[in-house]
Amino acid sequence: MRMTHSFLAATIAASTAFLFAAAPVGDEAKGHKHDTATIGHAAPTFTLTGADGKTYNLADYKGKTVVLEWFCSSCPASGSGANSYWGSGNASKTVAGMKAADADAVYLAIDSTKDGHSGMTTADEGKASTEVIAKGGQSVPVLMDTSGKVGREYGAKTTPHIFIVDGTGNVVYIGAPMSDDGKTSYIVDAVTALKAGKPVNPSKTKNSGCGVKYATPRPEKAAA
Amino acid sequence: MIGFQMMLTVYGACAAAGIALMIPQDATTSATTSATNPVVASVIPYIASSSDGAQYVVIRFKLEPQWHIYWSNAGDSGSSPTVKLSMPTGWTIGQAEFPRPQILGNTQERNYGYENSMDLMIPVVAPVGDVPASISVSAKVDWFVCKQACLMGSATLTTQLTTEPKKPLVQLNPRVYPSKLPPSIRASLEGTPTSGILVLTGPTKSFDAQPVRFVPDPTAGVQFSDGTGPFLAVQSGNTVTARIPFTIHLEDAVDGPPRIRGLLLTGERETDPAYRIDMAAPDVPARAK
Repeated sequence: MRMTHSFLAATIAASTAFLFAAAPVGDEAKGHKHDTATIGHAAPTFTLTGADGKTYNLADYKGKTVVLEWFCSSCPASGSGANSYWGSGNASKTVAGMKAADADAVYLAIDSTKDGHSGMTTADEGKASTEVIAKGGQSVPVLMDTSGKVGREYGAKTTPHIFIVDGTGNVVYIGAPMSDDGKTSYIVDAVTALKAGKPVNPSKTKNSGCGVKYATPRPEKAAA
Repeated sequence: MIGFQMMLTVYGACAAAGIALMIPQDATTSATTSATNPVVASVIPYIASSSDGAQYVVIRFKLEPQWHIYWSNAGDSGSSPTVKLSMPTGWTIGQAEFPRPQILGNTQERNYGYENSMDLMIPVVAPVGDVPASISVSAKVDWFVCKQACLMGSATLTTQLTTEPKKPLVQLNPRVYPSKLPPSIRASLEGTPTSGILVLTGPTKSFDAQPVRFVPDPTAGVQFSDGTGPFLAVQSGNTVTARIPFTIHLEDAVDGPPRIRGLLLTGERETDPAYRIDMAAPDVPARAK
């Protein structure tokens, strides 16, 4: 370690001259198309089969607020263990809070875990997911997206990862279910705001958790 | 009671193929080695001093091969370790300082973190006046560690730290800690109050190693174009420049005025220089709530 350097963070004045004009290149060059769910734009549509065998179509919930939570039963941030979002009871409180704010709001868990992850078949994963959520005392369907198509279309990266769709079908929130200190439920706040006809603030927060275990690599982005 | 010279060692989470168990540990846990415990967290049993006189309490993470923990910006997934440090009255505690992170994953799923070992440096300032030769500290440490699957870990570490004689930290991994930009490398912002470009530029000879990359670690309310990065600098003639577009979303700035933060990494090695960038977003002080 370089102990000769000061460890103090460098704060740099923002008034420096602007002189150069190169562009990022290679795989780090960034496209600007909305290739995943984007705040203020229409949510990707989907039809998925739940672990309960029922069919769930996003279009069926038009006019209602829909909360989508990417979920994995074996992830310690999502569904596994006492400190996970579901194991801690935080998810159940969130669902209850959401229902209190808007009885018509819908909460759906989506499981994009690939078949065979952690030695579990899709059927195993669906069963395990349903059991985890049922322990929370809430009725939340688990929609199986084993191919990962829907997860990719939304840009779901972690479990948990939350996307909220308003009654018009637009994405109004992307991020974490709650603040790091657990004191603020971004989901309940968003649903409450929508019910009151107000904008969702914040509309985007930093999500964290296990990476979604997709069956296929993320497709390359279109060039800028 | 833990002796002064004994590194307090606890073991964290247990892993078994896809089954995550979190086992909080306390200071009395005996030290054993097991393949099912991928992380060992400990407190270095002395206050580490840098050559400029700064002092640190150091939390050491030792990892089983192929497991990794995360930088302050984990990237596409993961979560940064956290430490809640308690010290005797009069000591002040600063914000934890992470060493230069490794770029993990592939071009499609990117993470920033550490394999093998990592020392988290927590700056501390002693109270004015005489300081005991040893002090009692406790640290609640939480971490998120991944390989194919992920595990949470937690430990409460309580031990005595020696304050004298002063000595530097001896790292297990010789990771560099980010420093302030040298005068020859310039950071600036251009654009509007709602969007802009972070420009990092300097003569090629100013960069000790190539390639040069910027890895973002913005506060809430700042979004870099494809926020995960890293963003590669371009060499043109004798100049290296990175231009990183960003947008400002004040409504999302839940942690206060947004700041443009990240690291400028030179080279690929964990010992290559890394520089810290931390700038107020344009016009934010006047517009911040």
